[in-house]
Amino acid sequence: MAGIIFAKNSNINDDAYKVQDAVIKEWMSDYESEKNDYDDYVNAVYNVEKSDQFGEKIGSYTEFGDFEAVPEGGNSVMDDIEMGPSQLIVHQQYLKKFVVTSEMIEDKKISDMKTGANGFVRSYKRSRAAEASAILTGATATSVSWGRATHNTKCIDGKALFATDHPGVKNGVGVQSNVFTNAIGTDDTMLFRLANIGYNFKNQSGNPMGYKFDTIILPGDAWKEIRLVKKIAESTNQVGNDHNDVNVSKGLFKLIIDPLWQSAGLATTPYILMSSQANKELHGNMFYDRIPLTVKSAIENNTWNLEYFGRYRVGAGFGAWQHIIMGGASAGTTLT
Amino acid sequence: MIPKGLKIGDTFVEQNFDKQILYKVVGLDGWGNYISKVVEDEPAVEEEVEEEVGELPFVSTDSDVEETAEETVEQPAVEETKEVKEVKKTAPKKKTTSTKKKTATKKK
Repeated sequence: MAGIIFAKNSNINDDAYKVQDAVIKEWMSDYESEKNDYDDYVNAVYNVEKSDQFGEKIGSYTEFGDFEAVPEGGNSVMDDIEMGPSQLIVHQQYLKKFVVTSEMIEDKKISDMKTGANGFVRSYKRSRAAEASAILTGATATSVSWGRATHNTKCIDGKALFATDHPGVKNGVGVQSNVFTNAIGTDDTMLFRLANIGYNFKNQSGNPMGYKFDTIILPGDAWKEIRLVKKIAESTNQVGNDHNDVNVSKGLFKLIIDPLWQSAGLATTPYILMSSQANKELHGNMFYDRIPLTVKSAIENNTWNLEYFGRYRVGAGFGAWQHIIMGGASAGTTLT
Repeated sequence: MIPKGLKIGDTFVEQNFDKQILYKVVGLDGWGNYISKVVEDEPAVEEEVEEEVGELPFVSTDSDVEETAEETVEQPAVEETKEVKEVKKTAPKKKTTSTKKKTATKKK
């Protein structure tokens, strides 16, 4: 993630509070450089890239077919590669301001000013992660409302990211589902089964893709599921029964707990499996930083308060769907 | 375990630790799997309906009586006024004709 940009030409002719203004901006810059959970979440779940346009378009092609046998002296067979659907992710602007009062500066309320400066940057980081989380976890529908804006949660085929009927492009490729209602259970059976379904997802040409599903994302308050997955990830023997079998899922899964995803108000406790390799290679979850947090300051003539204005632009959305599976959903395919 | 062989419209219970979730089959995918949806909590809906039904007779009967009473009283009154207006409208015409006749007689 890019650092904060401070607009140096703001407030240029006003010498009042110039020193304090510089110190507050230093606090912001210092806080921004700290790593925190919000950055970790976005970087782990999304492909974070920079953008220099109004939006980013993700295109697709079908896969090459298999080589074909020809008789001696025969001609080469032209591949029937086709252009697939595309997806446009348009960036959204976000604004916020906060105020350091003239009394705070005159009375040297350093801690209050520092709290405001740090909180402003923390708000930026949390907002970024909250948008990323809201879009991903709400992608059973085709759009999600967050931050007073409606975000497109469709993937490249025009369906919601999590849908029971993702179509192929070439003829004969049947619909595929990546949203399941089955609960996580009390052992690794369902996780293993869903990971295997993901391993056998077919691309737009109908070829099995073979990606290893290695990441599990859980709501922050789903403590039973978190506990189960931690046991599955580390136990030598099978979890959830008294058989002495080996735990074949040991070390397969990386657990990501999303603190901004809460299951308390939901009818079910959903969970997400993801292939980190497929996420990168297929342009799965995409997060574009168009303009990082840009801050300018000014003294408001009417109140003599020192005001800070922050602005950033980001875009988030999805390309492919074959990198991700939701289980425990309130609607979807039920495996029998 | 999810029971096999269910049809569209059937329900089943999914156990998630100590929580039981009721699902309804809304479709079949051709691979032996169901397309299903969570069934909303029905008891809560029933309670709300009962409360509404309990209040409705008391409120509705009073208002109905008042409204019907007003209607029955008002309707003849409206009809009467219409008749009166019609009479009033016709009456001046007669007067005007009579005045014309008077004026005509004066000319003669």
